[in-house]
Amino acid sequence: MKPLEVKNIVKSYDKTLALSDVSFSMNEGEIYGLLGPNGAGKSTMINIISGLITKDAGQVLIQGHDLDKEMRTAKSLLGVVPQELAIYPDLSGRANVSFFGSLYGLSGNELKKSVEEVLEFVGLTDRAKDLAKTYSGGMKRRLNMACGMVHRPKLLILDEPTVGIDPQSRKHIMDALVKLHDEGMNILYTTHYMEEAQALCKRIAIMDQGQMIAQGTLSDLRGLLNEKRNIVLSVDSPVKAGLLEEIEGVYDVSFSNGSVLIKGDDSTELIKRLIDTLNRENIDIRDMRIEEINLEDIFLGLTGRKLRD
Amino acid sequence: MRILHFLKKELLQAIRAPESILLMVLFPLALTWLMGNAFSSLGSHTVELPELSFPVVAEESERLGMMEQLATEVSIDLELVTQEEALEKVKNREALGYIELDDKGAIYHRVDKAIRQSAEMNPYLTDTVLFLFTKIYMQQEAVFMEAAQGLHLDLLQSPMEADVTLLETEERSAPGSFDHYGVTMLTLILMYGSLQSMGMMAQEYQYHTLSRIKRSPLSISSLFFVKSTGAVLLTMMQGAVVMVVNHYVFGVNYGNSVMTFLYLVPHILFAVSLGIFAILVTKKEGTSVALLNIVIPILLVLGGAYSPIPDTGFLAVISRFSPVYWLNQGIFDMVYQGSSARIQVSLLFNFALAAILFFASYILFVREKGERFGSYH
Repeated sequence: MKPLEVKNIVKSYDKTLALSDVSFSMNEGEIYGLLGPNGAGKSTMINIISGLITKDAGQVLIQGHDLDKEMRTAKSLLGVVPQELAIYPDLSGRANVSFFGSLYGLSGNELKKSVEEVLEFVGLTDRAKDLAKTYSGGMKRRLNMACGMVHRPKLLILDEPTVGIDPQSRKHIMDALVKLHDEGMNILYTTHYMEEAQALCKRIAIMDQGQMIAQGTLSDLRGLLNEKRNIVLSVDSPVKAGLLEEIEGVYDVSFSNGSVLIKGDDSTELIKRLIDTLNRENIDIRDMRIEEINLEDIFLGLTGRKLRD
Repeated sequence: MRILHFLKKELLQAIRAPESILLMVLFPLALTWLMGNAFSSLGSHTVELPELSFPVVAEESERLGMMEQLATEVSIDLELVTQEEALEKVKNREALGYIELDDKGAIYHRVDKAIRQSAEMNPYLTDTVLFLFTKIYMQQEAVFMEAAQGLHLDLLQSPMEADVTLLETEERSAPGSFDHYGVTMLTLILMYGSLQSMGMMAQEYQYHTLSRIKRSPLSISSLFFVKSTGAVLLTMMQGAVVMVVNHYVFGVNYGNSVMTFLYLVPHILFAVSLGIFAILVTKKEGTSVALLNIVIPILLVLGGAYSPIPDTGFLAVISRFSPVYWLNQGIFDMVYQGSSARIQVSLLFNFALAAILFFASYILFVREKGERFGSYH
């Protein structure tokens, strides 16, 4: 039984189509990524899966339970860590976690045990009795996460959990997710950070403007653009603006620290044309490197736009 | 259990908030005390006369004896002083005047109005008593003189021993100032419970916790129920504390306190529903606060919160549209006249308004962000 199946979801707000026939599914025990720029429809999809908003059409199954027909059962299997902090600043960390755990039916000793376990997991045991408003930003994020997983959900959904936090807290969260995954938790992770998706997720779905563009493992996605490649050149003198963009087969050119990054066709002809062009301008190539395309490149290749503007 | 946990969380948060104690408990108590004292002439009330002691300047002991006898009968102390001492007392504001007994009779020397007004004792009452006492003495002396000359022994009896029956009653026919404001300030602060309920709902939006709760298995109906119930329970608790302090500290008369508290419940429901409705309609805490701060004072003024509503006139007519009016008047009628007509109207009026506002609020709450009324919840 798949932890999550999303079938043909359609959602519109007034005349704006937020999600257009989106389908995907997760396999047991995997971290599944939803990648896309702001406004792609990721949060709308999360809100529909978690039962916060209704959909116009389609079906959502959580551990085989239809969200429409068995909403209470389906919701009890879910844990959500929202993008915005959703904690009570005037309650202690422990009181926050305890309250949200109680909403999922936990009570008595079972609730107490779960609360202490999750507080230890996120590293907040020492500050558990302090009011949440006294926590640092990173601690609040960890508390936010604890509140979403205190009831040990079958499927944990994280909606851009690392937005706006320091690198140390980000690493802490990502390490925690890896640990959860190792313990067998199914995780749906949305982000617009390519590097997070590449590092964490076994399979990734790319969304843009309410549509599912592509989905699969990183290898599968790279395979969609097997005619594209990244070429990194180190040159000894400046390259005139527009010089390389005119070459047939080149899609994008950028400069960084004396290197030129060219995204273009995966062909030797392109490399030949690049060398010829640079030689004509008396520009010597000190180094040339072919790199595998990343998710940023895949998104650019599929949509013609950058993942992050 | 979920709902109980939720209620516990609601009450814990509210009780910890300082404004909960300051605004909802201390504020009405302070207002009751201030208004009760400031408008102490309101309504019928008993006045405790200060111990009356008047200086008397007398050279003739026979006249003094008669005056002393009369004074004893009316519970007045006479203090025999010299002329200089009497003037000193008046100068020091220790006395409003003095009586001088001489061969012409009794003369009441009173101080001028300005000095009377600046005296600490109740100047008007004391002045009146002193004046009347002197008059009565003069008249009694005249009667005795006539009686003695005409040998009318029956007229030698003191007038104060006439057959006068004095009745004392603890019952009042109308509220005194503290009684009045003890009720109106209580209903006032319960009305401001709408700001509290609005804030309790608004904070879920402010902290983004509402969306987290909506994602849980707790149904929308249960969520709405517990937010409303939490606010109602909290307001009831605050009202009970105010009532207890008002009654035992300020002596406010609530009649049958339990019944009076029960009469307040529909009003509390109305106030809470008004606050929740305001935030769900406006979706902005600032706008809700502004709206409620317009509506509530209007209802309170029309309800007689700050001063009694006259029986006739334009104000008397439009005050009928305020549920606070019916509640305040209904409580007064029940406590002082045993009449339940207006309290019944109050119960119906407040219940009806609460029902309408709660229903409308529920619809708005369920229909938020694409939720459709009737689907699952």
